Amino acid sequence: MAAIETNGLTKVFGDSVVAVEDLDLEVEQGEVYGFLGHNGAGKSTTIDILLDFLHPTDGSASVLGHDTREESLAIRERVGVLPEGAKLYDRLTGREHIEFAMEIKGVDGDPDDIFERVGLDRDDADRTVGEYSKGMCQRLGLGMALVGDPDLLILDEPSSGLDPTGMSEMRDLIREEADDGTAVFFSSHLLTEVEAVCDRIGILSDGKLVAQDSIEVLRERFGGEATIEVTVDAVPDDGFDLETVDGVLGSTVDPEEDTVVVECEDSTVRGDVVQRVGEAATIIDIVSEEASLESMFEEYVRNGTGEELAGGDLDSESADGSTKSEESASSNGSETEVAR
Amino acid sequence: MNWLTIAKKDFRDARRSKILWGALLIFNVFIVAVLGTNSTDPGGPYSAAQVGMSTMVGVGMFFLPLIMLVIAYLSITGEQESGSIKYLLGLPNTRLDVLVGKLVGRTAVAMLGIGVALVVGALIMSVRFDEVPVGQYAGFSLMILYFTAVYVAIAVGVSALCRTRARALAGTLGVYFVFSVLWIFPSFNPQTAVSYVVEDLLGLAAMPRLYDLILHLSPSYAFSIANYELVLDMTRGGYMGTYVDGFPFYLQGWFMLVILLAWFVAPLAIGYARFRKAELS
Repeated sequence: MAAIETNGLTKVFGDSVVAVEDLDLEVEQGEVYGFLGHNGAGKSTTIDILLDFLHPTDGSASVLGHDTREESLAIRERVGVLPEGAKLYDRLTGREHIEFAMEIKGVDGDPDDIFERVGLDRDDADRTVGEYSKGMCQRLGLGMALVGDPDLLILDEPSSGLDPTGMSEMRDLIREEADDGTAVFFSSHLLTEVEAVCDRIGILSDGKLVAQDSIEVLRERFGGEATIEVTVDAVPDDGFDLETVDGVLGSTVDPEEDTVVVECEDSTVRGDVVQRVGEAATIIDIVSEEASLESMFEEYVRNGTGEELAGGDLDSESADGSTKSEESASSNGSETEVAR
Repeated sequence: MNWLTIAKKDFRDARRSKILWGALLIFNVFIVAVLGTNSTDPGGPYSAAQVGMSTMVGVGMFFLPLIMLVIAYLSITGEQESGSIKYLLGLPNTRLDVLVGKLVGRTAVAMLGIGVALVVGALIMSVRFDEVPVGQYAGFSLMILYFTAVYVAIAVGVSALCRTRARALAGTLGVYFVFSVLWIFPSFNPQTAVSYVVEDLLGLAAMPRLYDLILHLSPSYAFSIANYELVLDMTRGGYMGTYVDGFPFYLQGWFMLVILLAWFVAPLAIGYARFRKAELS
């Protein structure tokens, strides 16, 4: 029995806004699954369906073997949930929140243990949540999710509002839970976060799953593509004409920063690129990156179905890949910023 | 028993809200003003205590609903708007748990505040009036608390239907204005509208009993009649029909309690029917 399984899950808002399309997910018991995608890709919609906050337009979903529509209560008895963008109760203290969750879940125990685990000290526990920072709210929300030792944690953007230390602690906590046998399903638009902690990831783009596999496999598929960023004294008016260099996949010139970012087929191409740039301008700085997960993520999202990279070998096949690609390409520019 | 846990949480939450206490304070001030200033020797057939209580009924039938609406109109809508309902329903609670918990929690807050006002009222009466009818005051207090519960239920029911604050406010105020103000407004009410339909459009004989029943369907009117007939022992005029052999059962005091019960149940049932299947986002 899978921790989460969806079959052809589709959610359409109104007449035509497709938030999730024909989604087939499978999350195993005990694994940490990163659900990756830009804001608006359909991650929260999917999670809302798992918790029966939203109802599927088509297809079905089950959590721990229970159908989300028929047996939602049974699901929520065994799941810990951290919703995204949900406010807590301003007039109640942190302790009262945890005690409430404990009473609802019918578990005894010391709320202080929870506070310790999520990194809230005792003084904070007795303050009302109205005085909490966003990061503290996020920790408290996570604490509520941990109550009752759930079999599955569903965390929607768990690191939002957390500082780098908090994010790192959050990752440690997720790993701890996983080592305990708890399955963790968490959504994120931050690749670094997913990379550090997940057994497997699924990439969601425009409501579709464009890739689902372990990070190693996804990285392998992506091959040795490399990126190089060159800063020059001044970008010449007619550019660098880099596309004619063998092995260059694409380049982006930023005249204001006087930089050019070049994507190369593999790392050996970089020398040629530097040479070509050096012929046209004076090089000030060179930054070179190996294939990063982030560029891989962007590549998957840009291609919509990921077929070009993976040779159609992915979990999600697309019949209308061409139109999808156009849509995601047109919206890609602004979303890229969000992901970084 | 999750509803009880939710009710306790909601009670705790609501009881720390200054707005709710402000609303309840206004009612306390109002009780002090009425009972502290009305005549201790009104003359006529009724005692000073009776007149004082009937004044409170007359004003309370319009005033209490507004306080209850303030207390409860955001009970569920507010959780939807802030998203906290995702925490609430991410835990193993049913939607019915939420509805009942909210109803009980807000009713408890309202009754606590109104209860204080009633005790204050009793103290003032015992100081100012020679004779305090303890039984009558107890009955009057129960009526007030019953009416309180009814209007909290109406507000919670509407709140279960509405996703935004604006809608919940419009919905609860709409119910109040239609059923507790317009309904009773002389010469501009459903009574006269129905008599127009029956007599002028349909050409039928006048049906005064029907008109009188329709008037009594207003929760505020039913509340006042129940008080006059069952508790204060005062007569009421203003009927369109003549009832020399006594009122039909549906115009009698006890039936007003049934009408109020319907007002307690129906909004909750309608709200739940919708909330049970509603999508949250």
